[in-house]
Amino acid sequence: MQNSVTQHIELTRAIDAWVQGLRSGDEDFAAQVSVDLADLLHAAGAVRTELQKLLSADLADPSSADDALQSAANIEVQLFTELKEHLESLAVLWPRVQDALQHSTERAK
Amino acid sequence: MVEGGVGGLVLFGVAATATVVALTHGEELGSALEDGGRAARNFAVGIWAAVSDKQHEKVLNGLAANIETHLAWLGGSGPPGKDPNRWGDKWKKDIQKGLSEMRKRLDRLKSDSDREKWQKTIEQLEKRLQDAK
Repeated sequence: MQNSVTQHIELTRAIDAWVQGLRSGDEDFAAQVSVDLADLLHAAGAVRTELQKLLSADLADPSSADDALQSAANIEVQLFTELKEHLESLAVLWPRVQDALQHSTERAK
Repeated sequence: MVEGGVGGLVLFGVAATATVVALTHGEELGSALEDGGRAARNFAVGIWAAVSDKQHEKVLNGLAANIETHLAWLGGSGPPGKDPNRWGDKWKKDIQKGLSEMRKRLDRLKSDSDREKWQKTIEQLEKRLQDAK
């Protein structure tokens, strides 16, 4: 858990630094983009893990079926709270990242 | 065609019998059907309530685990040399949304003891959010 926490913080920090480099001084924008992107990647990973558990569940076994129900609920939480919220936020912010990137590439020419 | 004719005859027979029974024992039949319907409805509601509570609890488990993950990120957040609450504020909002979802689920639980148990869990998570840096 601690290792995954460290990795998540490092990824968030890396995205934050990159976005700040792109839009210098816009700390709040960088923070929101980095949290949205890192968190939704984490959520997508969690969905994959839970899906693998679902696919390998033996539904004829009550204990395994109960675990499968928990996995399905965990997928619901990740899809419809985490992923949905961060995707909706990124849908607004990401075009601004692309605009900044385009300006940056045009300046470099 | 012949089968269809026989089938139609059988259906007519069943309908006719039902009509005769209904005419001769109308009140008893109506009462019996009503009692049976009520019993079936209570049975279905009972099953649905049990299934529903179980599913709500699974989602509550998932929401609580997701909040735990965010509390762990909150504990380890803060880019060096920058405002340590810049990301923390975003995660705190995520946690608040998660707690709000938990409260909605809590309201749907039928069992008083389960509701009490999850109310305590929510209060503990709220306290940890307040105490978080």
